[in-house]
Amino acid sequence: MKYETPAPDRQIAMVLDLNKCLGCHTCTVACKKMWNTDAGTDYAYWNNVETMPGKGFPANVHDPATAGRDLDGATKRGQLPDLDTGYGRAWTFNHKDVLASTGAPVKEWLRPREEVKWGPNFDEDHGAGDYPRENHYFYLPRLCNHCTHPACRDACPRGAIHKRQEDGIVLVDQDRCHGYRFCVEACPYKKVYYDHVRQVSSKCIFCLPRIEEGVAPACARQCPGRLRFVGYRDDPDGPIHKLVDRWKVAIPLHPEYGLGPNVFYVPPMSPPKLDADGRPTAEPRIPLAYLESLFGTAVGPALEVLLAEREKTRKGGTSELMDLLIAYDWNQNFKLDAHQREVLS
Amino acid sequence: MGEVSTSRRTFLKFAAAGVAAGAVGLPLYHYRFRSPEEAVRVGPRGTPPLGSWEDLYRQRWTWDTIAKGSHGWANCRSACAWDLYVKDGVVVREEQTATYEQSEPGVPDFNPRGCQKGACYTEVMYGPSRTSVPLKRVGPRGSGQWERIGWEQAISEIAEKCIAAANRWGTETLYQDLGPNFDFGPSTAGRFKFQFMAGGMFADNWAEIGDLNLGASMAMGFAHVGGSADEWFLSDYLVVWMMNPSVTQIPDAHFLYEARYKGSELVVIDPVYSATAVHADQWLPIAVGTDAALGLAVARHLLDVGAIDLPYVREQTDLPLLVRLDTGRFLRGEDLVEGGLETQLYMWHPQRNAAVEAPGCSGHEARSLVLDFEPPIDGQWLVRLKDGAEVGVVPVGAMLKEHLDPWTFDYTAQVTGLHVEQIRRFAEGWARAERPMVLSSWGSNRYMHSDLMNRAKILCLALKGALGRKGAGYQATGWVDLDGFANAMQMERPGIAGRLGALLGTIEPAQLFDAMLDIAMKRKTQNEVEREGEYFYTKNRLCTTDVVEVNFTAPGYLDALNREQEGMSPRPLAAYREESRANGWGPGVPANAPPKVFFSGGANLLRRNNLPQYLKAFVWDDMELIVDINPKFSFTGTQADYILPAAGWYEKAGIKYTMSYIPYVHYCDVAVPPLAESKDEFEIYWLLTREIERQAKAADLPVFEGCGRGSTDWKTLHQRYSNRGDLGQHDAEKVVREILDSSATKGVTLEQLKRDGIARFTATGTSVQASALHNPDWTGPGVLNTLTRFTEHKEPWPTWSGRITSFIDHPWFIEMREQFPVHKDSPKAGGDHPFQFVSCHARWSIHSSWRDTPMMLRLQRGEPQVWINPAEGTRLGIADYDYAELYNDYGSVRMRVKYSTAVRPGVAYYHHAWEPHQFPNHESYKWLIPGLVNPLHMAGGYQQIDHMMNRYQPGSAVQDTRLGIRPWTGQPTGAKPVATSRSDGEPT
Amino acid sequence: MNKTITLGAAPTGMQPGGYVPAAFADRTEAATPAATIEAVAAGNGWRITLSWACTTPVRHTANETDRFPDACAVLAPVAPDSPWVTMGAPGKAVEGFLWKADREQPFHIRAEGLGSAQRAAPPAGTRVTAAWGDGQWQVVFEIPAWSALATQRQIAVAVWAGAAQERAGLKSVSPGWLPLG
Repeated sequence: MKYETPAPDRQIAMVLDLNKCLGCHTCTVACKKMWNTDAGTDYAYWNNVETMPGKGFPANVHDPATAGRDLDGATKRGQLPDLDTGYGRAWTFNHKDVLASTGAPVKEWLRPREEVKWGPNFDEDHGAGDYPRENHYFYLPRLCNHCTHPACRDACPRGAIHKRQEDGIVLVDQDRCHGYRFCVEACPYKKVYYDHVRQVSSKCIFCLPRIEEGVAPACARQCPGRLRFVGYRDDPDGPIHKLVDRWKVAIPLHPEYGLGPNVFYVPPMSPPKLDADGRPTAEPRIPLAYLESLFGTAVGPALEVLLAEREKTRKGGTSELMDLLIAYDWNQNFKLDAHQREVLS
Repeated sequence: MGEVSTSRRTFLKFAAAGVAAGAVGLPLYHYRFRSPEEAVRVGPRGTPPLGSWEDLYRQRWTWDTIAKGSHGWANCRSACAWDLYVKDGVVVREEQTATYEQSEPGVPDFNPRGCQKGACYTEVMYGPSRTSVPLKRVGPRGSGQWERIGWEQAISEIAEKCIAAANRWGTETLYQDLGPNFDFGPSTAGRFKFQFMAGGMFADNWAEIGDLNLGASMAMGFAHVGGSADEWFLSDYLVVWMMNPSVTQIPDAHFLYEARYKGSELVVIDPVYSATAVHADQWLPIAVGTDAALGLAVARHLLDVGAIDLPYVREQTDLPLLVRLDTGRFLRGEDLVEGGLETQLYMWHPQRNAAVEAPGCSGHEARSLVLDFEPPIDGQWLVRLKDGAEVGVVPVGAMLKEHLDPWTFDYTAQVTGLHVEQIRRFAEGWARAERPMVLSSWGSNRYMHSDLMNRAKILCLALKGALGRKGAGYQATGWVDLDGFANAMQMERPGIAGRLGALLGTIEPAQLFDAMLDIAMKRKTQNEVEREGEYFYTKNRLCTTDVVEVNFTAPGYLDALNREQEGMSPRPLAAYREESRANGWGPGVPANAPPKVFFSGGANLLRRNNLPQYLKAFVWDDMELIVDINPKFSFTGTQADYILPAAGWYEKAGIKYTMSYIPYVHYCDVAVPPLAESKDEFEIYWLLTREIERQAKAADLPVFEGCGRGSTDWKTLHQRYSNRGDLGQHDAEKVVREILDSSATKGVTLEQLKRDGIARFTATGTSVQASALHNPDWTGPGVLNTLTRFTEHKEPWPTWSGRITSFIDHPWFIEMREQFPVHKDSPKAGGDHPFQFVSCHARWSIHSSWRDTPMMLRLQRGEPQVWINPAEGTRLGIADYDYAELYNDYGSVRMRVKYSTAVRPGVAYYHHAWEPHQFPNHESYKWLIPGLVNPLHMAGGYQQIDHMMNRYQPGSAVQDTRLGIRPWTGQPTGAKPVATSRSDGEPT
Repeated sequence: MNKTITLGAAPTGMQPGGYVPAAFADRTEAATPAATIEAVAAGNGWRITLSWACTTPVRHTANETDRFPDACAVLAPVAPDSPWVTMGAPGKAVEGFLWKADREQPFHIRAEGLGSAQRAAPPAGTRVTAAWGDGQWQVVFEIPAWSALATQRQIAVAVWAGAAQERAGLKSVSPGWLPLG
């Protein structure tokens, strides 16, 4: 029996413009420093950046076999990533041995103490395709999608996961959680992480304490590429509504699982592919079919809108969409309301 | 006295930084809110009641105080404002302040800036490589055997050894290089001030690290040019040419991608499908090292279709200057008239049908480029020389056309490996563009023939009239200068007397008077006087040289390079060096002995230098004292005699170095006191000068001759360092105030910076480093564009011809056939091996800072890696993540292989600056990189072509290195031993 | 009592939420088909020994994300009609003791329906000793006092096989309450 997920009063959401992503992982580090510096989540990245095409993080996350849903959205058993080949252990290093080396002929050198099998950015810039005709890659930053129908919530036999009424943020109750990890298995995005020290699961909280005060999440506010927009789905003046609903250029990742993600992506354009002789073609390097495997069939139309609006500005015209994506005033990327909360002074 | 403040200017190219003061709690200030009321609601942050598990999260976002900071000493080419969150005396995290304003309407703002490294400096600060106590070596150098000692002992022993070395070898054997890790605050001012006042030798390392744009110096007379990053947004044709902003300029890269949305076209030229290329409209996968050829094809096309800005070309470039057909050199005053000047050049006057003096060239009295006629850039005429002979002359433009003639799209396609259609599309884009802009990074200077590549790019821009036009031109890392920094490091007394003294130390009173007169009489522009002053100061006052020159003082080192470069130029490398020295073109320092005492501060010489095995064998091992003053255990430090723990970047007052990308000064406050026993450099040198002075007095040390550029009395060293006692041990903030007394930070106070972290510059600075921006009108508001001094004010460019230079008739350039930019194949350095070893500044580190930080290593693969195309891996039988052996004539190293489809087959690509101790045997790939020295970079005597700090000097090119790659199956790897029996006969 | 009982797979179909019933619908056979239970009164309290066959014990889960420890629990109804299969019901609690192979101390557990189990520290004096040998787990609970068991004199057991990734409702259970006899 599935849980019914009551619709929240409002839904907070994020849009990421992949055409501005630098692959710098400042978002990842901002998030890491803020929330996941403890021993049990040393391996975990509530926010991570993947080079696509690639195996991602955890490895094979985009492989439907790992998801707790099939491609029609029906529930099936998902996979639980292991620490070495799935996530990549948070390697420790031998600085002390190296910096105080004895000068023996074969010196100890700085390297991971653990055997390295995978990591959060292991396939950095690997990409796909033959150089120089069709090689391609792009960066895909990922965080919890705070889904409208969260697979994690549906997976918890303890009812420890809830979706906040006021903003739709999906949270794992750290008191109720018993660390069973059905949520980890079920989530096709693998965005719940098991804290192997505290033996509970935790996940992106959309920087809830910041949101409560009208401050954008660290991953968004610290993004030097300025590619993230944060606001409420229902705010017609906010960036989310404009990009998702009005312009329809921002679309969710893996819509096929039917979970209703509330993180949206402006899909990537790419330079032209070359023909067999090396002549530029009219076709982008990233195959549309590949993008569709990630973003579904909405990706084609979204790219068309994007290119059409850009064509206007290339011809000297103006475009509200382009202006929005440019983000002349960066503060406008975030449209939030602070609501007071109690603090001990 | 009023005179002094207006004429106070400095002639140093570098500036400083700083830090200070207890953390200031400004919880309301760190986010921008739409209204003050909203801001008030945020804090101060208390501790939420533990009413629920959610409060555990809320408690993580609390703090005691917030200090304003930046990563002061980081050698990253920009600056970002950060809030440093302090809780229980620990900086727990950092987040961008993000309070920059739009420069002008219609241009995106700079927020939030920052990068992943800046977002985790706390991981470095409290990380496993942090130094915390003074250490003294007890085993052999590099043995890793250390003893913990007290500061008093360290300072006393170091002082003693400095005195002994100075006594025996002269003060010039006290050696520091400039950095490149330094800030513009008191800690760097202290470091430089010590070196300056002790009569020690400063070695510039701009070129040695591969960052000096000699092509720009040749073409325009300065190497550092570029405005604010938001100027990129204004271009309609953005050409990223040998740069990867997504990786190396993370805070600024967004302007490129936003410009695309505004309708600009973005072209990326890179053998690697870089993180910038992925966002391009055109990616040109060019063959390695053939960029000049592409530039020549574009220039040819622009001339061919007439898509040039002819009035600009006539006025601002050397295309109308006349060249003799018989000699292939400029027509000069000395050719035409008795007593005529070598420096007077000519144009053809079509109405007068005669050669007329070109205004603005270095020999012409008119210091303006304004023309009252339209000199042709094509044609051929006869002129009569002073001896009565008639010779044919043509304008440079005509020669250029002929020179470019072979560079058809077809031929260029053969050289560059690009398709004709790609080249055509690119060239037509140039022709169409109204505001073409080329982004060319420091990394564009790492080929033997990088100068030709950059000259070719600049040629294209010059033809389009783009240099000096807002929203167009050449973006190659400009600087804003803080003249107060140069004062701070030179003054010997407090206040105005000290500043006056500093000024008179740089220029003699009579010269100063003459200079004022020259400006008043318009015989020289103010900028020219400044440059002359800089030249005089650098050549006669400052004990300055460059790192290549220092290395060459060791015959064994020069031998190695001479062997490596055999056949790469008409004469051997050593012959050019010999001629350069004979002509007085080189710095001539060190004159008496190779370096004996090395203070490493903000540098990692043994990590950075090419062929460190030779450096170790021929320079390092002969030094008597090596001190590393560093917050980090660097490889260089581990090979030193003493490691003195420097305060980290959040622990000392600092000013992030001031590049023009972000036209704000960035202050680094003291968020927490120096960790453990560390001290900031201002204090360390304060203590050292005090001890040297004490010992000098006790020994009644004679006054030293310095390095022949003024004497230095070490018995007053501390008196001078401390401004006669005005600066106490902990007075770094006083120095900050002195530094802020700069034309670029007019009215900016320390208090304001502690509150806001940033303040917009009010000018580009008055000393020469800054005048590279050459926009005398910019006062803060608006996008910072550059070079208007020439294009709007019509002052001559600081070149031989007074113009943007395409043609150089220096005899060495003629010998090398590089009068015009040409394409030359990348020479094979390190032997004839199948892979070209191409580097990029790192994504995950700023040079060796952050290089060994676990948080960063986990986002890589934990060990140094070389990137190759998967097809190459398959061919070689090396799987992704396998170890491979990289080998060439110098030996071999072991590295992990990383597959990337972005990498061109035949290229072995790496992000640089891994510490040698991250490799087996503590030998990095640097042991395989000879670092070619282009002989032309030792040329001189030709206005802009003359040894100068920050502008012109020999470097060390890494990108021409070749190597082979084979599977590693357990075989030993390592560099070949250096034969230390020194050969004779080579000039030194 | 001292008897060997046949265990059955706890029915996943009735587990809360949509995922477990669907994803584990195939788990119809008990991973641990049988266990021996011995319950002996010891003073005011109890000494309960549970043993079962286990060829691949999982004792350590530290620093791993995909491992689950072997575990077992003994349970008693608080009310005479506290249901077993649903782990009690509102107002009709079940309570007992949970041993996990990666912990020294057992949990005291109490539930009023599926998914409602609360874990707490056991009463002072509660001890558990566990040993694995010859393909067999033997876990001994020493419980100073357990009024529910004393009152209702019924007990049930559950065993989790970590190697089969059993946790929560994925377990082998006694067919119902077993009378102490």
